[in-house]
This record gives sequence, C-alpha cells and structure tokens, in this order.
Amino acid sequence: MASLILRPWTHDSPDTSSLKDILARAQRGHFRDITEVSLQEEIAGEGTFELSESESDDEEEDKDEEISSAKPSTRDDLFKARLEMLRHVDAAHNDVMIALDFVSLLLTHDAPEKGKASISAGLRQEVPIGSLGHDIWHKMPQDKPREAQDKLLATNVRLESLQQSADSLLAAASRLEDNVRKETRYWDHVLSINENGWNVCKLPGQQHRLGVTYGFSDSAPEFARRGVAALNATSDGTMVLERGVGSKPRAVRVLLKRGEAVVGCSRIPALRNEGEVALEARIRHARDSLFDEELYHEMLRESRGQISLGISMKGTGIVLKPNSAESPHATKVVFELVSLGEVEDETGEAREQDSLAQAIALAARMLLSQAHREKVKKRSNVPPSMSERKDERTSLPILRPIMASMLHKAAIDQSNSYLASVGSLLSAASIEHRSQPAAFAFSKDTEAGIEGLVSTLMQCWTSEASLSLYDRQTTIRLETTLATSFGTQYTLSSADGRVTRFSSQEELRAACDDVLASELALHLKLGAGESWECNRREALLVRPDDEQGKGRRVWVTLDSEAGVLSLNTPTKKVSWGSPGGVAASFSDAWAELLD
Amino acid sequence: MHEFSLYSQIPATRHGQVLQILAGVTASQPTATFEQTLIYQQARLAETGSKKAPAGRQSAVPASRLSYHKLVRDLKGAEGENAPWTFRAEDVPLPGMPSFVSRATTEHVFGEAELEKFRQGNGWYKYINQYLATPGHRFVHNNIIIRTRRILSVPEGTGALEPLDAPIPTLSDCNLIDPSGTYYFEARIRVEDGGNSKLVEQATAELMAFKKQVEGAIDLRVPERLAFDTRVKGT
Repeated sequence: MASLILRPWTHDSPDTSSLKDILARAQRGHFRDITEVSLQEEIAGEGTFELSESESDDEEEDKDEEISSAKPSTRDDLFKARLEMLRHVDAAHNDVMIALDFVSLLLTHDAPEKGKASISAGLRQEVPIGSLGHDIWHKMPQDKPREAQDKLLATNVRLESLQQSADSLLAAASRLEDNVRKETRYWDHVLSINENGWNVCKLPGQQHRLGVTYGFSDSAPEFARRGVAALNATSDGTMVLERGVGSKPRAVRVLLKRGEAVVGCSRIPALRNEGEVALEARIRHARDSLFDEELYHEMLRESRGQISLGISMKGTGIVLKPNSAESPHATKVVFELVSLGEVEDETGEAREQDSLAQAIALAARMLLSQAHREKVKKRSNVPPSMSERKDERTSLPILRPIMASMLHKAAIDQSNSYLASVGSLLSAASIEHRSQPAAFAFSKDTEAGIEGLVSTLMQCWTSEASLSLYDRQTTIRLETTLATSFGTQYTLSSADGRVTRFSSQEELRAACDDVLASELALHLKLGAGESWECNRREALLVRPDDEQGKGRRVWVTLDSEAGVLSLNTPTKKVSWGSPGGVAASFSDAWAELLD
Repeated sequence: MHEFSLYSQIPATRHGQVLQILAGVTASQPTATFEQTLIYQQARLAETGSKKAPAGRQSAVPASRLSYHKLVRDLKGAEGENAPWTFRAEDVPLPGMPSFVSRATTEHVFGEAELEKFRQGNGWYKYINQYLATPGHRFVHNNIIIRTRRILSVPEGTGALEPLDAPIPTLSDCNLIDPSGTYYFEARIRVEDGGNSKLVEQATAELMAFKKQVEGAIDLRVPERLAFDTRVKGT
C-alpha cells in the first residue's frame, strides 16, 4: 500500500504518524462511519459554531470591565488592589527592560560602546555582541498577479492532495472487494470438498491453514503421515493441494501372464470421473494412490519373507507362480505399481482372464482393509505390561491367501482333468462309471458383509472329487492351506476304506490309477466265479492250474499319463484308449480271454 | 509388575462428552465392560517356602502383613457368565510420588485349582464384600489403559451363597455407591519390572503426557495415598 515518498528534511520532525493515528486525531470515530454527507453536515455545523464563539467572547469582555470598575471597599480589597497594581508595574518594567535589551543588542552592531553600556549582564552572557543586525526595507508594491498566482498554486496543491487521498481510498476499497471475493471463493471450495465427504481439518503445525485428510489412520506410520495435504489458495482464488500431491497417481495392476503373453489385466481407475472438479479428482487420486502404494509396499514386505512359497520379484513386479513345477505354460500373476498417466493403452482390449485379474486385484485391496481393521481391534485390547521386548511388525497376509486360492484352483483343475481323462478311457471300454468333479466349496453360514467375505478368503480350502465304478466310490480330497505346508494336500480314499495322503499330483495319479485298476479286477473276479483268485494290490487275477494244466493270469493296468487302459495276459493284450484301440467293451474282452 | 495410575471423577452430565473426547484421542471406539469384583481378606499368610525367592521377583504380597485381595471378572467379555476370574493383589502405593500413584501389583488369571483357596471353608481367605462396576467403558491409548465406570454395591445377603458360583445379583437391586451418578475415571500404565529405571521413566513420561493432553477436559489427580492401603488392620 505504501508508496515510497522522499520528503525534504524539515526543521520539525516530519509527521509520519500512520493513518490510524491521524484518524484518531480527527476524532470522527471509525472510518467506516465517515461519509460525504456526514462531513458536509459537520462543516455546516462548524460555521455556526465559530460565529457563536466570537459573540460569546465579546459578552464576557464587557462583563469583566464592569467588575473591575467597582471601588475597593474593605482593607483586604485595598491590599489586593495594591498587589495587583504592583504586579502590573512589574510586568511593565519587565517588558521595558526586554525592549531595552533588544535595542541595545541592535545598537552593539553599529555603535558598540553605546550598546554595551546599556545591555544587561544576562543577555551579554547568552548572546555574543554584534550578532543582531538590521536593514531597512522599503515596502514592496503589492504584486496583485503574483498574489493571485500564489493563491492559485495553493488551491491546486490542496486539490491535488485531496485527489490523492481519494484515489488511495478507492484503491483500498477495490482491494477490499477483491479480498472478499477471494475469501468467498476459498470458503466455497472448502465447503464443496467437505460436502463431498472428504474430511477437512486443521493442520497440526500450522495455524490459519486447512487441510484434507484422505489417508488411513491404521496404515504403517510412513503412510499415515502422508495422508494429509494442506489446501492452499492461489492468487486468483482457486485452490490447490500443496506440493503437487495427487498429481502423479499410481495404482496396482494385476497381470496374468502365460509365458510372455498377457492373458488378463485388471482395471485401472479412470483419470477423471464425470462431474468432478479438478481439485476433487486430485484428492481422490491422492487417496487411491496412497492406498495402492501401501498395498504394494506391504506385498513387497510379505514377498521378502515368503520366497519359499514361490513368490519372487522380477524387475519391479511381484510374481506369483502357483505351480513352480509346470513352467512356462502355467499362468503367473504379476503385481506391479504403475503410473496412471502412462498406461492408458493396455486396457483397451478385453482379454480372456480379465475378470480373474480384476478379482485378484480386488481381493488384495480387501485384504489390506481387513488388515487395517485387525490392527484397530488389536489396539483396543488391553496391552501387556511394558517390558524391554520390542515387537516387530509382522507382514500382513495379502499374498498368501491369494496364493492359496490359486493353488487350490490349479489343483482342482488338475484333478478334474485327470478324472475326465480316466472317464473317457472307461467310456471307451464301455465301463459304467460316474464321476463328480471337484469345485470350490463355500460354507453357507458365513456372515454377510466384507468381514465374512474376507474370512472366507482366508480359510483353508477343501474340495472333493469322486469316481464311482460299479457303485464303489473312490474319493480324492484336496486341502490347501499355506499355514502348514506349501501346496495342496491330496487324500485318496478307496472304497475299502484305505486312506493315503500325497503331496504331489503325480503321486496321486499313480496311486489312483492303481486303485482303479484293482477295482476293475475285483469286479471281474466277482463276475467270474470261484476259480479265480484276485490279488487286489496288483490288480491281478489268477486262476490256478486246473485239470487241463492251463493256468491263467490276467491283470488290468490303467495308465492315465499315457491314456491307456488294458487287460493283459502273458501272451495277449487288449487295450483301449491308445490310438490303436479296440472297439469291444471291457466285459467282452474279458469273456474272450476266458476261453 | 508395577503400576502407575491417575484418577478423576466425571459428573454424569459430562460422561457422553468425555467418551467422545477419549474416542478422538485414542482413535478407537470404547469397549463396554461389566466387572464384578470380590474382595477377600487373607486369613493366613501363604506359606512362602520360597525363602530363596530373589528380591526382584514380582510378589506383591510382602509376607509380613495380611492384606485384602480381589478377584475380578469381566462379564461382558467373550465368555459372558463363565468368564475366568482374575486375581489381583495391590500393594500400598509408594510414598513420595506427588504426580501419580505408583504401586506394585500382581494379576493372574486363576484356574479352578487356585480358586479353591477362596471358597468358604478353606482357611485361606475370608469373603468380605463385592461390588459391580457397570456401565463401564475401556479405551487403550498406546500403553495406557483408560477406564470409566460407575460402581454399584450389591444388596444385603449376597454373600450368603458361595460368591464364586452364585448368580450375578440383579442390577435393579443394586444401588450406586455414589448416588449422584458420578463416573469413576482411571488411567493406568503397567511396567513389567519396577526396577528397570529406563522403562519406568518411559512409562511415567507417557502417563504425564496423556495427562497434559486431556488437561482441561479431564483433570487427573492423585488421591490420598493411604486411601489405597490394602493391609488388614488389627493384625
């Protein structure tokens, strides 16, 4: 506001009092109340006031003269009058001596001896002699035009300074209006943000500044601290978040890859939603970005501790390989943290497993929220008494449940494909069978809501598949939980009640093949009569030597790897399923072999 | 273990406001508690054949005076009516602590075998009285446990049955100890080992910081030390 004014040095101290003090001196009250009309009234009022003042003075003088002409009547009055007279005489004497001194001083300049004779001692000490001189000036003629010019100059200067004060007042008014407008805009913005659900709060260190919280209070400390951003007003009244928060948003993206080809990709949040102001878009980006960054960070921490589970890093992406044995055609899951601005193009086409990728991404985020909830619950429990132990932060279980589900799914798929291949073999041999493939089993009594969903996700997965041959059922049970061991545990229960456990798919297949072969052999024995003996464990039927000396040995083999079911004797072999397979049925071939 | 605590009183009209303030300070919701406390008087000292017990062990009962012990259980917890009993023994607070109450305490969850000592007929303990604390709320702020509750006294004659097994007295029969309905407020922090000066400093600093934080809303004070005396008089 203040312009730089250079004033000439004056003898008196310059009047640099501020506007406030001047106004106070003007004694007109707050400057808001000063209007043109009120000033005019004051001027009108003052004029009458002055006139009345001079009139009252005259009256008083007349009165004084009357009082002083009364004669002194008492002795006290006499003394008083005498004192007064003496006082007057003294004063007059003083005046005369001063005049004498003045004239003598003047004289000392021209006639020093005469002056020194009459000057008083006091004045001589104060002032050196001859220091006061005099000149005679002739009276200058009255210069009318000059006087008029002077008057004009004076008026103009007065006018100019009044104009200047008017200008500065106008500038102040417009600036005030500007400020008011900016404040209104600021508060409008703040209110709109608040109404859209964001939490506006006071910033802890700084007064007079508001901020928006979008973080999660139960995150790790380094993320919780980043969850607040100050709202700053720029010079033209718009609001921005401080220091570029929310300008480079990032998100976690899940890619499903088979070999090097991408078969599924999760969705990335849109850069700008419909009907959203840029500021709110930034806040939303900031929150989503913070959540996803925390998710990535926690997954990274978890992956470092769980390398034994087949979780590894490739570049900046976390790679989950559900079946480390079968590569490179197995599907891998890759989690990466990408910048929203850079990867708009990949999501264009729809791929076959997009929904699975999206589901995995959602599951990861839900698991993180669940971990936050668990933290709050843990915090509300009574803490143990303080001791020197320091707790380490355990890694949150995000990748593990996802890995468990993927492993279970892979196991289910494998078991079902095995059952399908065996089923086709049996059908080729016209053997009657029934199979029930495995599927994900969800218990019916989970609680509704997100906690129920997450607890379902984190449970131990079990499924069952079964194959019935001639009403005797063989069951395969799959259990996946990463708490005890890596991978699925298979349990094979045969119809006679034998239960065996395996931990790899190949062993399961081999064992199951054997069990089925022995089932078939048993069935043949049941239909063949007493002369045959059955060695169940080797699926072997033996007819001991009869009177003709002809012993028979027949055995059944089932090989699902090669896809062959065969009925063998030492000399002959009938097989189904292989490319050179026979069209006859199992029972027919058996009957043939009997003869 | 060693406990440091501060106390206050909250008038009934301010209770809701104080719960809100605490929820804001601790960033969590209150846990409702309903505690039943039985007070027993030791009839004879536990035979401490452990003369070899080192002095640093937490044994809150100095084996010289008989004292009052408490059995506490929380009826609003997961087990409801069958909640296990917790034994609590408190020492006289240490003198010379003007800013908080500091005392050694022992707390264990007792199983059936130890509870036998408390039943009538065994010469170890004599039942004195019991009280209920409801409605009660608990907050946890870092290491500080904050509790507010109202204390009710049980009607006459409740002690006739074996108090460990008796049903809970009906709430409508119980009277408030303080008829004005004021809530009793306690902030407590526990340290495993009272001799570890670093831990003790940390704990007391935390307690004092909490006191400063809620200053103005809740005024935490130190009541008179001998009011916490648990020694049996006249022995």
